[in-house]
Amino acid sequence: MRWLRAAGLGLRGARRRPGLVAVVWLAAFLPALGLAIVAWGELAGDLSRSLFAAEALRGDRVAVWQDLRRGPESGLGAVRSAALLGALAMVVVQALVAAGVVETLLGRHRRGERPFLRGVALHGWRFLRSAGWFLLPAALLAAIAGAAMGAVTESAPRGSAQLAGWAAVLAGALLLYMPLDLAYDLSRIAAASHGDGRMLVGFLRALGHAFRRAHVLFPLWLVFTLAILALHLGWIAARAELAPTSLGEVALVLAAQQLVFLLAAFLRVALWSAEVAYVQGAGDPRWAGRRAKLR
Amino acid sequence: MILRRDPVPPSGRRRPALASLATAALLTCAAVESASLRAADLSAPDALPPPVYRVEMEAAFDPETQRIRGVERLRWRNTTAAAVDALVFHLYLNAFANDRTTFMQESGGTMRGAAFPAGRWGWIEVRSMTTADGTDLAAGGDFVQPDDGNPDDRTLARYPLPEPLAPGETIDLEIEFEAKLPHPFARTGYHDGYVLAGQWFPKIAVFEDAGEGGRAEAGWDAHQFHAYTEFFADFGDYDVTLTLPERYRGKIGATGQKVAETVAGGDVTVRFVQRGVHDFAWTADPDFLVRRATFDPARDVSEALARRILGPLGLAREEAALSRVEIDLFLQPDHRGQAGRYLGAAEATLAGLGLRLGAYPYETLTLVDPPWGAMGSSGMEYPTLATLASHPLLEVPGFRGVLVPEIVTVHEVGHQWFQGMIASNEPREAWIDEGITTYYEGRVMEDAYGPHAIRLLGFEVTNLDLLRASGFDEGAYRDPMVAPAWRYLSGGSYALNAYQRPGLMLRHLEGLLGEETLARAMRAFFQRHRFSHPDTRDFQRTVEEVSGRDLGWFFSQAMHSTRTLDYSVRSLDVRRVRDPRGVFWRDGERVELGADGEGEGEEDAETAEDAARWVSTVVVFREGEFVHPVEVELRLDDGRTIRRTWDGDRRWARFTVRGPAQVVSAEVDPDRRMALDANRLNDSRTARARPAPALAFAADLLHWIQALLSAAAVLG
Repeated sequence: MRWLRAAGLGLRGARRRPGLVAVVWLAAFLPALGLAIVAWGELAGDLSRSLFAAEALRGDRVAVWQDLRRGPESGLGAVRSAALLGALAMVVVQALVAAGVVETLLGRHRRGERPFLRGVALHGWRFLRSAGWFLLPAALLAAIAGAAMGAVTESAPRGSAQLAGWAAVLAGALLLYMPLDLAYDLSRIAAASHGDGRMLVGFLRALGHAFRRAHVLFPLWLVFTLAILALHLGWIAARAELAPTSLGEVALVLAAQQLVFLLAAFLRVALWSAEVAYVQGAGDPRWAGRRAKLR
Repeated sequence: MILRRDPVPPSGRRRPALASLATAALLTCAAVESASLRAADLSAPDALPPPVYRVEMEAAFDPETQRIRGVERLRWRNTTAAAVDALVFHLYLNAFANDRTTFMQESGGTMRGAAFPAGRWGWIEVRSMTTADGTDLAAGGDFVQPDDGNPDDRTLARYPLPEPLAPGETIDLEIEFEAKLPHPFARTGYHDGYVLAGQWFPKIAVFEDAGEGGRAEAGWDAHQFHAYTEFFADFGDYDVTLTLPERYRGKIGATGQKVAETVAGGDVTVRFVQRGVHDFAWTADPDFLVRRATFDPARDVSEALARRILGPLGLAREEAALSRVEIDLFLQPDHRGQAGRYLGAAEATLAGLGLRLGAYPYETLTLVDPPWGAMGSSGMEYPTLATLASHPLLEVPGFRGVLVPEIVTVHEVGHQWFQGMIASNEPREAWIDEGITTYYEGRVMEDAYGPHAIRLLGFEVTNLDLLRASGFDEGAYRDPMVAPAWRYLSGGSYALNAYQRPGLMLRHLEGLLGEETLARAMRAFFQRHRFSHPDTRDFQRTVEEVSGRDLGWFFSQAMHSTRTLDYSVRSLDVRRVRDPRGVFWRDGERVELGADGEGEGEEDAETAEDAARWVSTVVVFREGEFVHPVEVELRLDDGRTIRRTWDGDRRWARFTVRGPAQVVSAEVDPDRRMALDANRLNDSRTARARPAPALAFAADLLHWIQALLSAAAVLG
């Protein structure tokens, strides 16, 4: 299967399953909303009756943050800690979401069944174990990349060498992360497809496959990942130009912001869908099974 | 030994008392902004200060050993009224000789986030110090440590004279020295062919008369080289010849004008001459790209800028004439695309500060762009020479809005005025040069680039934001602003008190006195004290004279205390005047008013009128210990505004407004003049909550939290 065809299948799959897109979006939105509401509760007292706070609406948000920092103790520190804890919890939550998403995308359910919940129940545990196997090399890669960035910063003789070094480290890290992430997804899809549970073996076999089929899988992963990144960067740039001054305008900004996250969720589901189509097109290999037939 | 007995000309004194008095008299006259504020023709040779000393020096640098061997011929004059029985020299490079020096102990071997690499020590030794009659003073010299008694610190040396040097007398010395440049850790050093030689030769300290610098009797004002101190020196004339390997040909820059360059025997020899400066630094790097530009005021200073700056000063453009300046930019090949950014910022500074304070009087300006491995020498000022900083990343689209090269250039070139010409005592009062330069850095940046110093990833940071970001301490300040640099609690406290806090204080003074008055005061301070060593008292005196106000209450708190300024509107309550209830005496009769009271008919009419009346109560609080008069503005719902001035002395004040209109908002410092106010969010309070700002903030928070969770989700 060519990567373009897989991408097309992925986009069609995501379009047919808006519910999945909504779940992926809500998985990050709901906890973030909870924390934002807590933060709003903390900020409202300082900001809602302050004329200076109106400057926040004119774009000088940095000035307002600075003074918030110098103001009386607030619960914003707790919100920050909760957000970091939430990010850790998200790794677990997302493993369960992925179980539901993959089961749904495998499309083997009957009408009236709830494949998402079935997937969570059936594959949740093996997906959590798989997350552990994936996080290990991913963390190692992050540590190595961090150390390499530090080494480049310290030892590059010139700024341009430093810049080139940083770019090389980032590119290298991306090139190594890409097959890891692909293998993670592919092995989970294969495991869910056959109900297999040898997740480490599946991960390693899928990793080998990802390298062998790099010409298909790498562009597929890159195009979706870069599109998601571009979406977020585009929003950040656009938001800088916006200065909402009324509740209605704030609501519009909020809506536009969530549209960006929805589109990102759509693209994420589309990548999953493309990966499922790819695995099925590759003969549905049993990478995580006992007698796997290697392809 | 003693060559001449010259009478001390009044102009040769570092703090010309007569000139000061004359200027003071002029300034206290009504036409303060007239004659005394006219710019002198600083481009004329006699506009430069008469030298306290003259240095002729020949030095050879060997990149292999990083050593400089030199001969310094010094003619020094005792310009005070006291006899001098010993000479004191700074040997700054010895700060980097070992890990026990005062500098290294105080810095912990770390400066600007970089650790000093062991083994790359620097030092300086005086081999001989011979007088005209052949006496070697070096033999009797000794290292002194007046600040901490640290025996491992050899940054200050005292050489007794065989006989005292009387007032007005001159001494000639020939000093042979050898120095090794360290890694460029703190301003000076050698790295991979690049040299920034600052504080590299035995440098005579400043001998002060009684009364100068607050001293009771005459003496040397000399301190060891501390981690957070810079330098202090008299003005002199320099004539320096440098010899380096031939590969440095055309790639050597220094303080002053290059008057000769010859090549012989595989070496290049260059001679630089400069009158009226208090230091001499040089740089070299075979990799330098040299870019030359001319600052031509007729071409490079717009009429609009001149009008905007000179208008408030009451000066015509011809009265604030600027001079042409030849700018040599020694650029790293990495930054070839940033030459225009550096040069543009330098020209903006020559224009902005030249117009505001007085023209740059020298003919050359040398800009040095250090390589990445030598960033310890970046962002530093020497007379007619400044070191800059940038990174190729800042040429990448998206990062070009980070105006770091411009900020550093404006700041360091700005030091040509405050430190280059206003040669204040940096170790004792760092705020004068760093703080005032930080203030002007913001102003020149705003002239040339608008309010934003950083635009990155949707975030916009103004110059004022940068000041406020690090201009406040947690709660009260830990140190007063004015203190010897080595007495601050930490490097962070030094930086805050030397740079951002005084920068904010001057913006605050703008608000307190008015922009025009402060502009006139600053120009008067510069004109009165250029080429001398003014201190904080001189600054305060000038501002008070020009503004005609006693500002002791302000300066004592802003400069000499740890008090934080923060006023707030604690509460705004609006209530309708209720119908009178209870027992009242009307025309000698007792009546009870209320829901069931008698006489309701008559009172009803009044009540109907009262129903349209409101009582608004505003409580304004002094949250910090800094006592300052504040304006309080109350806005009413009928469009009127009421302004009151509160002396701010008590902890709180209550303002009550009764009438048909209700107060809709209350604000202290409504014109945002008080830059030192630590928290502007609490400066105002509206009667009705306006949820939009908090919601907009919460929406942004939601975005970042959601983005964080989504990024984490990729791992799950």
